[in-house]
Amino acid sequence: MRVEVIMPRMGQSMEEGTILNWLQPLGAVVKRGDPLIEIESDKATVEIEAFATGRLAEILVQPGDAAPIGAILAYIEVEERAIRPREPVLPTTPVQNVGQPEARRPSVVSPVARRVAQEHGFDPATLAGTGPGGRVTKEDVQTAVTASIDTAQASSALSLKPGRLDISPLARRLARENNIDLRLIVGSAPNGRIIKRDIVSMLAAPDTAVLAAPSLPNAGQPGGVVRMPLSRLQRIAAKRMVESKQQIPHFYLTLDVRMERSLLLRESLNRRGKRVSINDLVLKATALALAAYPSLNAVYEGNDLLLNEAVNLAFAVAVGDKTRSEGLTTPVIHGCQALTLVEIAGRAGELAAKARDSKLTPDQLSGATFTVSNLGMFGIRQFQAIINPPQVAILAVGALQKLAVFDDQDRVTPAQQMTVTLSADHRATDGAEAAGFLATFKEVIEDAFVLAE
Amino acid sequence: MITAAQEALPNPVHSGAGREITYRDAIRDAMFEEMARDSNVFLIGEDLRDPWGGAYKTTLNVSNVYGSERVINTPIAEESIIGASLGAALTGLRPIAELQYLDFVMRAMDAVVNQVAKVRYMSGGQVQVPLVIRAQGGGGRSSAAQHGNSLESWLCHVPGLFIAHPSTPYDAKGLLKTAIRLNDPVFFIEHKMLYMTKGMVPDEDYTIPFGVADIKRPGTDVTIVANSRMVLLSLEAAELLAADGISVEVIDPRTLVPLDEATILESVHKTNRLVVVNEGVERCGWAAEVVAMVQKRAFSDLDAPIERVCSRNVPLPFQPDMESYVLPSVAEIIEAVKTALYVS
Repeated sequence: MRVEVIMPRMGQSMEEGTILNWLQPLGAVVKRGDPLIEIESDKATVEIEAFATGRLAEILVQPGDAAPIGAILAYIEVEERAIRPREPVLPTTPVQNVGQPEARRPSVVSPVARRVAQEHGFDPATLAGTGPGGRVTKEDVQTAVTASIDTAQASSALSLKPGRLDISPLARRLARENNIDLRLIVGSAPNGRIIKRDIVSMLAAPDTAVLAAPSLPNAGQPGGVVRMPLSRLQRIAAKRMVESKQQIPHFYLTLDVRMERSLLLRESLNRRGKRVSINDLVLKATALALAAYPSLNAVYEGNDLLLNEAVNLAFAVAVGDKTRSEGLTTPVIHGCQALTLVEIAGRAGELAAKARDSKLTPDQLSGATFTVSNLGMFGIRQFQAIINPPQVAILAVGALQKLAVFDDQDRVTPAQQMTVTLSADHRATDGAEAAGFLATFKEVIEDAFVLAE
Repeated sequence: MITAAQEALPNPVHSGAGREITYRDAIRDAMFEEMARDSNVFLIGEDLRDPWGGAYKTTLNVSNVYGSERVINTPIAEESIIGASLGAALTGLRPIAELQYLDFVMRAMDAVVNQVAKVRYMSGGQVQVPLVIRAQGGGGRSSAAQHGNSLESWLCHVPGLFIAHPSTPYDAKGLLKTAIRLNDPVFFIEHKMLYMTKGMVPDEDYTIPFGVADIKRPGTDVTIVANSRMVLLSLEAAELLAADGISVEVIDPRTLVPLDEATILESVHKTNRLVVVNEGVERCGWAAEVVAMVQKRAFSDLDAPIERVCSRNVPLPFQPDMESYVLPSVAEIIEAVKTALYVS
């Protein structure tokens, strides 16, 4: 590398100088600081030193010649390895606020856009251009600036985590002091926050039965109150029942069925040693009806209904005794579509016994596609059951009743009637389809012969 | 330090007559009376002597009465004013130094922060600093960015200083007397827009203890804590809100250090809502200190987030409309109160 030796300014008014002598010959190796030239200005003669170490490679101005200030007098050839390379200075890259810094595609950016982008720390080349030929315009940059501010604000305005209440500290304290269940209060502040006046008005209207833990003055005394913890089964069921009622749009269809022929069938089978209960008849009839209405034998999953090929019927078994329930358990009979009435009865009996002994295995409790709940043995005439998600329906069976009905000759005649109520998920099915299912169920259970096939 | 300030200074109770005088005259009267009471009290600052009597006329006639030995005119040299006053205080005198504009304290900040505030501590109590530094701050008359600052927040952040910030002639006189009689350094901050305001001031000698707030207007729905000129704006806002059926309590702490936390907390306990009004810039200002204190000590009393009404985070403009836009306004105070009440 060649370093220039230039005419130095040796005085305020000096404009040119004259070379008197080269103190080193051409080609000599000079060291920095070695005397190199004698130069005469109008005021003085001065010895100038070499400012680089290397070989005096070229002399351009000869002794006796004048040259102006700054003119190149000679070159010193400096050895490359003698120069220590400077540390590379990392250029400051502009902050990329918009999108990912993809592989740079050359884009045309208008000068104004470039300036605005620079002011905001963008690389305008990363923006999509809406100008002619895909040019990035000032508007494109401004849109990007606004968008980045919005996302920054949105992320900084921390939205309430789901399940967290927006409530003022004062309101929270008042609710706590007055045993108010906050989940039941709607906030009246403009942003929905629960504030003091909401608690105050809640306290002013106590008959709305929202007091979660009413103070019981006689706790522990005769005629007082005893705290009874719910069993694990009950607690789990409680949670699932709430979810079911909150999320599933239930609708209910009630139908009365005539059980005479089914009862005869049952009697016949029982006489021959095959124990079959009314519930077993119901289970078989349900399985046959579901074969014709597969969307009730399904699992609801967001936008899809998963139709199940097998009919896995869950039936409720009460655990505990009549006065103190420990909850319901619902064992599952898998593959009812391929089981005979007698086989279903056998399975049901086994599972019910196991349920009462709490000996059911997990796969005996899972995989149900439809549930049958029977309160007939308790004399309940009719009721509506709560669907067990992810199933889409449940059949509630009432007690047998001997009633007076009209026959087709309009004569009063005794009948054995049973009332069933279907609860169905209106996301998965509709009234017509559910009614069709119940009609088939009725046909099958009233015919009865088909149950025995 | 707080107990040192409040020793033996009772709450004033007035029996005799009084007069309506200006804020400026109340300050001057305080200095006159204290200079009569104690010959060690003297004034030092720029342009204090007669016939000029101070940039805002707060020392008018004092040198006529007490002579030029007790009213010292200085060059424009704030650091020297503070330095010389500190030296005088350390050696037994009781100076009242004046900084013509609080903005100029910046030229003396090292002396204030590292010397005046700390020398008593760093000497292990061997010396005391009975020094009062008077200055006026605030905007409202186009004094612009370098002459309208409200810098009390800066000074509150210096342990070792007492900060008095009166809003009325009565408070000004009582607090200044307390400051002069105190053996510790006090920053006595006046407001250029308050000098001409008038109020009843008793004839008798009285002092106001530090650390005792004044409830300038009792109320039940919202608490406003404001200082200096902002007290007057808050009272105006309270009057307008009363027409809407909103009852506002306005508290003037009068001294920022020490701060009467108890009065503020009692008020918030009653109203459940707080608005803090301070002329200083919002960012890191004195209002934030009040907010932090209240949310910590009265969290469960709060029915709404605490609102601040402060100057916007920009240098104070010169143009009058722009200055009004930047400074807190009565309208903004009203809006803050309504926000705290969830009323639009």
